[in-house]
Amino acid sequence: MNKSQRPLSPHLQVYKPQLTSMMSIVHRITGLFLSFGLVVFVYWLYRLATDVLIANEVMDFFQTGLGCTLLYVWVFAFAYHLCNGIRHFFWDVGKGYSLPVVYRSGYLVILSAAVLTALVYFLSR
Amino acid sequence: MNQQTNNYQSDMAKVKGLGSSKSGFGHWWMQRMSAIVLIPCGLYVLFSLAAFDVLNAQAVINWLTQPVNAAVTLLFVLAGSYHGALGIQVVLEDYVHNHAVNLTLRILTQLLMIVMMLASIYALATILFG
Ligand code: HEM
Repeated sequence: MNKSQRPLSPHLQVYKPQLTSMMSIVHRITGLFLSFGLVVFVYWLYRLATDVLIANEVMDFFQTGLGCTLLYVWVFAFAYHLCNGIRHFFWDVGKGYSLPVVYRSGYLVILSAAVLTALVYFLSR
Repeated sequence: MNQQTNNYQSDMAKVKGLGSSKSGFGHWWMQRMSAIVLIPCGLYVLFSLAAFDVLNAQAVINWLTQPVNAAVTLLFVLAGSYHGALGIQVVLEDYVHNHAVNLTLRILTQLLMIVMMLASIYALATILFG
């Protein structure tokens, strides 16, 4: 069988985007983005210990428009991934599978992530 | 653990060779365990840094000379690197079907994880103990 001809499951071509599938893929994307951010975080820690000047340059970058945006995307990604991860824990123990509950917990995750991000924003002012 | 998983399989499933590929459960479990460590440690580091009055390198270094802060930060990086590497492995399994490429990327991911762990241990130990 020609592997490359086989459709990927789930069959994205025929699926209408919906909250459930979108939140699932966003969990994956935030996970990857967080991993990338953690590399930067470790680099910064390493520089704090070895070269304070460079560590300060890293911090200056995160005060610029681009840096600040990236930083808050990371904070939101962390908040979202954390809350949705807790949602995963409920599924892992077999709870919350009915469709209305899946939607309710989904909206709750998005709301909580937004609140957490806002908290960080106001705390850092 | 493997032994036990096998015991739950029906004889038919064993004969047909279906079921877990033997190490999947450990991966899934460690993804959850590292996530549980990440919740308090991540929030602690995030909110501590957000609460700084003046955020510059020296201020962060001073904060990190408190053993509790250094320990939680270290735990965050260790658990995060591990959890991230486990997660990326799953993503690779889903999308990279060429075996050689998949294996190469997985090894690179794990190497990066080890480098990150060592770098953070070195950095925090240097700040803590001079
Ligand atoms: C810096 C922190 C973190 C990083 C770098 C990270 C990274 C990742 C990555 C790359 C994945 C794989 C995504 C996928 O398979 O689709 C993942 C999955 C997961 N993460 Fe995180 N994560 C972090 C924090 C957290 C936290 C705080 C939780 C708390 C609950 C969490 C819970 C989970 C769970 C439950 C999964 C598995 C989802 C599944 O089985 O599909 N993660 N993470």
